Amino acid sequence: MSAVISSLAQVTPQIGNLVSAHPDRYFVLGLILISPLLGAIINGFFGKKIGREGVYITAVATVGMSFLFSLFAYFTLYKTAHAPVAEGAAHGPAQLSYVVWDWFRAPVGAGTVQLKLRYVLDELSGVMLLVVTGVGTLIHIYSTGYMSHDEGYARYFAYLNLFMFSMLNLILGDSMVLLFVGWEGVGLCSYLLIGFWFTNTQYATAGKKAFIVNRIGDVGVILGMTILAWKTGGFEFAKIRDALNVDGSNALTALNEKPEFNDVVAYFLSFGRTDSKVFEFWMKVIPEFSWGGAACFFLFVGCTGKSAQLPLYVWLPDAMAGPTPVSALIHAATMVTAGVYLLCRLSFVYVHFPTVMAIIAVIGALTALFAASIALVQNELKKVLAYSTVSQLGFMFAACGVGAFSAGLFHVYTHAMFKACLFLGAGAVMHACRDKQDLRDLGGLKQFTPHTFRTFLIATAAIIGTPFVTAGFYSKDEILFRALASQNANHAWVGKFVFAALVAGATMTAFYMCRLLFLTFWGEFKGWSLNKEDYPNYVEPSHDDHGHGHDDHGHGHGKPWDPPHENPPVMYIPLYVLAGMSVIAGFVGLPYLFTHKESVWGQWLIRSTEHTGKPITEWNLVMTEPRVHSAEITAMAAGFAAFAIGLGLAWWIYLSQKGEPARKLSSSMRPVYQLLVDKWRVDELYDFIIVRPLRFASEFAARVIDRWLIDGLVNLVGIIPRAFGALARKSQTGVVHTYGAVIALGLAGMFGWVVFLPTAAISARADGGERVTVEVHGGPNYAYAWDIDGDGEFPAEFGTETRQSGTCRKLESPDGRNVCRVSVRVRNAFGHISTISRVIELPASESGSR
Amino acid sequence: MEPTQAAAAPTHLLSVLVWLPAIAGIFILFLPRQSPGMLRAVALGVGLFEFGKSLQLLIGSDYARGFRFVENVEWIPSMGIRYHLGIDGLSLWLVVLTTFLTPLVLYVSFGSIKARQKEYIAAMLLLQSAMIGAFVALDLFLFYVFWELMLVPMYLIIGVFGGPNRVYAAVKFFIYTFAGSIFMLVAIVYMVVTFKELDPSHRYSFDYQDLMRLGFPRWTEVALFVAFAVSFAIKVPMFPLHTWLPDAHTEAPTGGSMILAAVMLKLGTYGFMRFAMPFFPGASHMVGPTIAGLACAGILYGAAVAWRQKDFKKLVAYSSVSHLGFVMLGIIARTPQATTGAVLQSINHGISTGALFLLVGVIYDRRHTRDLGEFGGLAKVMPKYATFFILVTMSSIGLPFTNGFVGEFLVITGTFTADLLRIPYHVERSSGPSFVGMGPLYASLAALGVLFGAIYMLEAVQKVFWGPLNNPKNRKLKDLNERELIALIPLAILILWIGLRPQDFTKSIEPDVQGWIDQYEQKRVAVTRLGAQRPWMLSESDVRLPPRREPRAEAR
Repeated sequence: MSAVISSLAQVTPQIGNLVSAHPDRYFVLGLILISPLLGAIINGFFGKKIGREGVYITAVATVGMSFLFSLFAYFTLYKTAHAPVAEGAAHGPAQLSYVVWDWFRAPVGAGTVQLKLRYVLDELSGVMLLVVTGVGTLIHIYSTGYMSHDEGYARYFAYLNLFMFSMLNLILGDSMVLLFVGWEGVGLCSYLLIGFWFTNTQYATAGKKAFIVNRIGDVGVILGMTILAWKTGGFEFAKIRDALNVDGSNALTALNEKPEFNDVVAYFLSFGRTDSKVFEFWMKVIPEFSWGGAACFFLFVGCTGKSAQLPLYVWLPDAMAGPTPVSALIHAATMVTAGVYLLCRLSFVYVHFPTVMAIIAVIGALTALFAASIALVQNELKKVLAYSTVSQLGFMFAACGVGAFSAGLFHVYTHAMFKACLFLGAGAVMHACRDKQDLRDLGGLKQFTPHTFRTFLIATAAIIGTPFVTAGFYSKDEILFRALASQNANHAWVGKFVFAALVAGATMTAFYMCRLLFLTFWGEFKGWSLNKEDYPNYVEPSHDDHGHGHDDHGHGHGKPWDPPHENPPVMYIPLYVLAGMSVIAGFVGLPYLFTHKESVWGQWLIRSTEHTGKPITEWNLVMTEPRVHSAEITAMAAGFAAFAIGLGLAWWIYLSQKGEPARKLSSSMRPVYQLLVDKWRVDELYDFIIVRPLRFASEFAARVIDRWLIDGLVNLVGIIPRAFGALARKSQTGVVHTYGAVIALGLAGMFGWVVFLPTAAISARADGGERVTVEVHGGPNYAYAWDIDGDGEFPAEFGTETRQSGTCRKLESPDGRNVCRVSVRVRNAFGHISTISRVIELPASESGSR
Repeated sequence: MEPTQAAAAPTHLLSVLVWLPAIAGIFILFLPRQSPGMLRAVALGVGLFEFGKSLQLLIGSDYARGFRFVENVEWIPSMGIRYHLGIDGLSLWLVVLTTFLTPLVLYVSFGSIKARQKEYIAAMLLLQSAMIGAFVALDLFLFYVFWELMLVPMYLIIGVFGGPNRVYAAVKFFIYTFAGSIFMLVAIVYMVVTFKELDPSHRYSFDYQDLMRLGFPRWTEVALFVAFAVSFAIKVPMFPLHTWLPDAHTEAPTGGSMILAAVMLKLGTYGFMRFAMPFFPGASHMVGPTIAGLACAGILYGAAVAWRQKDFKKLVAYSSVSHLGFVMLGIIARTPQATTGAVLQSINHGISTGALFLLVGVIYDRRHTRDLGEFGGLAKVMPKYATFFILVTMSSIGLPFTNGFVGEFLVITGTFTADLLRIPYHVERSSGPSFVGMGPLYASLAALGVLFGAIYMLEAVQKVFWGPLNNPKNRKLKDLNERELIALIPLAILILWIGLRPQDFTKSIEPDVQGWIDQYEQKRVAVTRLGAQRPWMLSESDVRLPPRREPRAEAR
């Protein structure tokens, strides 16, 4: 490592020259990527050898190095972005890049492009990079405390480091394919980490579910990027962007083409009858997406998988089976925001397709509402946070859908801080309370775990959007304002709808987060005095299966009635850092209303995410200052109302009334309550309409079609020769006497045939006219008598001549053919006689002349 | 062939590669059975020597085009049969894969095959000869001999060294593939006779380049193509001619399964590329959409059936049906990338499915069962095994940075942009009846295969590795031993190597694939232009390898 640093120190002064002279040689990016990979390799292969401390140091140091390099690269980028440009030259997007090597050549339309392992740092990837490596480092540090009693620590940190590597690929990759590498890589790490305690079948199943649901989305990504590259001529983001940004862009025209096979599908569905009413019906029903719209839609399907949006969100709540720091890092702060990142990356494409944007906005808003409604009634700490994450991701997507990409990304950034803090706080609570996370068992923790309490309080304040002082307020406010101000070119109602849905979602967020906070930290601690019979789901922490079957950290060995205790500093220091960030992170994005200028955040991302003049973001041009102000004030007021109502309700119900109104309401509206507790029974629905039919079809294919139909046919074909074989087999008695008898009989038969039945081969040919020559081949000592003319009489005696010529009389033939008959009597050596006849065809021309 | 290659010095590298294993195999039969160490050493030595020798094939192969290392001498002059060998980008890596895997398989088998090791080794070496021979033969007679010769050692390997139901499986394997190749033989004879009639000097010829010049009337061409295609499709195996494969795999010993899946199946796809399609471009173009449809059906059907298997080996066997569907789709699509992807994917499949069979063999050796229900929680007792298995699984389901991804991705995107798969439609949209490229439809179906692959593989992984270690018989299982590790590590390295640096491999595939497509299209135009009633001889220029076009990089 020191070698790396010293080499870095040597080149630092020349970095400016380096960047301009060798555009693809900014190797700091390589260092950012390689160091977590190194960590993964060391921990994965030598984890047991270097011991617990070694693993901790390796893991934290490699990710920490990555973070430091990221900071360095980011400032270099900052300098490049603000460097003075030559007079008259356009200020292109600032970027640093590093090429590892050529990867492979991929098809693009009629030609190919050379894909490289090329990593690019620009404004957009810059902010993501800092978030990921920063939060990642903190969570690695936290994990050294959290996993301190787990046997599988080396495996854990290897996975976590590998995750960092994959995530960095996702962020820094310069092409959609390289992004996809990270995209699937983080999916793999997520799979491995959700199922980290794999001896528990339920956890392993959750991991599998996550991977497969994500794969559904990945199919969308593959198709989406294929179409996009086909129509625009490149997989690289920069290339697509350049292709679209020229006036009268060919790429844009190509993207707007409609696929022809809509017709074909209609043609098939109407059984080829194009003149029928059925055909017309299908032509009306089948939507005419343009290719570009289809590409954007497919890519968005991928985003719904990775970022847990409707309808593919189902994996994320289950993913809480993983260790809590994993939930914080992967399933809250970084990986699940990859979808938002992809939309921002391709924002310059998306803005051309308002209908897809409307779909994204509506899906996002609905997800925000839907997940928040489930979070209202969940009783597990992590489940509430999981649904909260889904809901907050909905906010981000809604933002992207209304064209406010930078606002969406701003929420990614602030959300990473406070949600990571919340999850780590939840982990700290569980660590302190022997893995209890049921809200009904917790309570009163503020006296036992003061650090956790303080940070959790701050993060909660941020997520519910406490006005003016927290990051969550500014990012949520920006989204609400931009939603309200947006004008979708095709669907004008979308902005208003999204705004209304998000305000409702924000109200619910404030309520459930405060409920969570109050039930965990206020009131009395119920955990140890728990009457287990009341809680059928409660499982005694097991002592023998130490550290594997569940989220156990070795506290099972303490005396059972120890009070909950605060965690070590490695765990609460990251909490403080994140809590601090939850407050200050928002100040880079102060609203226009306050400062009367574009915020630092918006300014930094303006080139990446603002595409003025495009149908979707036209508000930017039409909005005048007073209208901006009125929209901003409306949004801020709505946000404040959501915060106040949610907080007030929670306060009243859970603090002043001790939860009594909630109990009453849940018993009076039992079905609704139960539906929410059961998460709208979406899993059951999917199981019924997708999983079971698919399983049935496969079962049918395997057991019936393959076994009986196809292989049955094959075996049937095989039966035919076998039937003959079976007949033959009957004679195989194995009795030598029988064989001997059969052989004797056969020989005798053959002998008899030859001896007693005179046979001869006869050949005859027409020589022209009615003249024919007959030849006969018999055996030794044969004699022949001839009837050449065909009158049935044999004029001569038997002779040994084998050839005879003569005139043959024509026969009456029904089909008018010209034929005659010759006969030969054959006598063999034993004096037996037989007669052989042949009909000969005479040449046709002769008969004509006659 | 380009003049530079023609002028190359005479070489016997291919002959060495083809015949050395057979000679060694026969030699081994005369060695004393009592000294297995010597048998093994000789076999391994020959295998490794072959591998090293085959690496010479790579010299100068980057961006080269046309047949290389050609040997072309008369063999049976009266019948026009020649001893004609050559290698190009389509067969290069398949040969190297064969020489790479054979010593590996032998090495693995030393651990599991205890009885009649001598015969096993001899059969394996003979098989290697036949396989390499079939890959490099450029004379149809020679090819057919190698093609059928392959069946014998494999028949023995399954029938003698296989599982309980081995005789049924071996016979089914033999008769099924043999019956298929009868059609091909008839077609070859027809072609040879036709050639004799058309040739000015009325000579017989089985030579690849001679027979290439034949043009046939449309339906004759289709009949001939189908005859070739059936025999190759059985070998691939394509849906619905696949049912011999699961039986053969289940009963074959680990080594047999590895070679069968990794190399022998590739002879089917190779046959399509080398013979069936270039010989009959008009017909294969016409039947192409159907074959592509069957390929997609195979991808999805194989995956669906694999999902429901309880026998681990059957699962892997059906996954082969699914993976080979990708290869066939890429070949039929005939875009440079899809076809390059298909060739690469056939290598990838060889590596990852070979590794999967090896891994299944590992637990079979320990537990003598392959029933997935018998396992569970093995990651606890066999962590190294689990690590390798997951790596191979990821390669099999096409995770990026493993080999599987590049192949599948190239096939899918290449097929998507192929506008060669066309179906007629008679909708008046703007300018009358038209044809529509259905590439996107096929590509989308294939992309679904990526999803299904994850479903069945991860379910298998879960059944074997995750969950509690309930079965007491699994408590004491030993992790990978040294022999297995030595065999697996090279496979793992290749998985990552191809994933990270695919261009090291594709750069010697791509030019020949491009040439193959150009030649195909050129001949197809010549064949379709003439609406002939009887066979005719195409002009030399219609079938010659067209001049190299610079790759149209950076389109638009």
